[in-house]
Amino acid sequence: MALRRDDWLDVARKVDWTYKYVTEEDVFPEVVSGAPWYPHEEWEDWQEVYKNTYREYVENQLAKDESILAVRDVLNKAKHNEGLDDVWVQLAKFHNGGIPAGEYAACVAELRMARFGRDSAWRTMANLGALDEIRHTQIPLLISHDLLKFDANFDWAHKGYHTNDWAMIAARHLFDDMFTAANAVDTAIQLTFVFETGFTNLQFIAMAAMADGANDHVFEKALASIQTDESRHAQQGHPVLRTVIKNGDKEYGQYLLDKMWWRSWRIFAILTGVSMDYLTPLSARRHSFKEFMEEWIIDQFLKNLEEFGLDKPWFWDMFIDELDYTHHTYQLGLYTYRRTLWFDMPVPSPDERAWLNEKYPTSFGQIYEPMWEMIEANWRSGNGIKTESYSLPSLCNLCQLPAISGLKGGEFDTCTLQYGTLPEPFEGPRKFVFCSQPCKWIFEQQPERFAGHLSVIDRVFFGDAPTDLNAVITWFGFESKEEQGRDLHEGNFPWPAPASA
Amino acid sequence: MIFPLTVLWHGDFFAQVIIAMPDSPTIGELAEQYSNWVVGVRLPATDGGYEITNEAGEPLDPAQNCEEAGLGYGDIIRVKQLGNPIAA
Repeated sequence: MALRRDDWLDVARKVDWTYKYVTEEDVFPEVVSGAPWYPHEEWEDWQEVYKNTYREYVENQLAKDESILAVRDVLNKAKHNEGLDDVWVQLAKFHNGGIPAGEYAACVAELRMARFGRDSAWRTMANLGALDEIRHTQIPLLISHDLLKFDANFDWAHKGYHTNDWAMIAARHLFDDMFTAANAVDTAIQLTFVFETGFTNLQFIAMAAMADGANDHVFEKALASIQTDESRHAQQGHPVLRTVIKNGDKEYGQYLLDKMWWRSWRIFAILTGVSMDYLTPLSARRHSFKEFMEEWIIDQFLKNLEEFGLDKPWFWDMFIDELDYTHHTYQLGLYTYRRTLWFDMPVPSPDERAWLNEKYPTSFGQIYEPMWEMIEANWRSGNGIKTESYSLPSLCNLCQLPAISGLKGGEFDTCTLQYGTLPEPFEGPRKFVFCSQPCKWIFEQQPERFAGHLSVIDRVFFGDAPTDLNAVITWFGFESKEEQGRDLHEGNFPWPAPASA
Repeated sequence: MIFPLTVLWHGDFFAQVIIAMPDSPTIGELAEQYSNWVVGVRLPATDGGYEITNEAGEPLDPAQNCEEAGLGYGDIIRVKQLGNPIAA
């Protein structure tokens, strides 16, 4: 008699045994499996809410892939691609440049958990998660490859992570800390609980809606499909965190959550914040970045904290405050340094500025709008060259992003820390710069983990990178001037000049 | 000896990356030089000069160079425009 699924499911997904020839510590060494290290009895109740057999996985994923490929077959035509809004194309280049290889790195993370996760059900989930991440690498690479004939900079979907571009260094630093250089327990909490459950799972839903509004249905379909995988393999974090807390290590769980929440916020602000509020056509915007964060990210995160009896991160008020400022500041920075990007950057139009004023009544009009007005005025007076910067900005030694986040009310958050010594042949103490107190705090918890890394600015100063700005841009990976980012309109704004005062 | 200083770009006031070469300019010259990257681009120029302070908020002498001002690698300086905006 054939067994029903539920009769054999546990045999397939959850089989552990007592090791006879080696110790449990030998099979799951602390350095890779994670600390605090508990015996398997503490992990044996590990359960995921949504269970999947391999057969179901293959069937479901096949159907999803066929669905994406069908939409691609219909819409991957020059007529369709050329009809996409120019600013949306920049978002697609930005997103696809930053994501695929990061997803492939996440496959490494899943495989680490697939081997060194402390329960067989966890390891089974991680095996499927690894297959997911390969898919999340292949889909954006496929779509980007199709678009090469339309815009050669979609090549950055594959090339980006292999360059020295500052944005790629920031992404690699984050993901190395989050999972590539982390044990299985830390990976489950940092990647699947904080980053995926907290941020990206919801981001994919929001971005799919934006893509729909922008009539980019290939991208929309891909994002929605990726999101369904994400929501499944992101389940791993909850039972891992539950086990850590149950065994009296709530403080450690809180630390990982605080640390990776801040780091995720930083990358989210510069990638998703800028995308939602500046690189999405006005007609396609469903909400502002701040509204998205409040309704989707923060609300869900606070429920998760309540479920686990955890506290809000210590910097919570600072984070809430930043919702009105940080990504706007990043946008100005990205615009100023657009030659270091693989996509073009827009000056927001008067209609877009009106929308930003409405969504950010306490900050945009007071701080940012005057600057955009000056930038536009410089272009119109033939001084577009003045809208760029000719030296490198300060970069945070933790998040590797521009240390320009604290643009509000005369205060700003940049701070320093003296630790260790300068590398040879220089002498003297080394001073690290941070964009914010939380980045500094993260560094201070594990200085030995972070101090050996050189930011792009460090590399310039210590001779590992050239000192001339044009040479640095080449060092970043740009092989020609045409490959570098520009103002989207090059000063030929599709709106009339403001009336003279 | 290179004395790179870390500087920030800001709205109301700012500091910028400074690399002091062997014949390094004064703090005041550096502030003037780097303010040009912001003034007239994002901020209107003002008629009151600059206030230059170190990370602790202590005023720096614009006539001193970095070494004389006690600034070393990684130090932050802050430069603030004073006075009223000059009409374009």
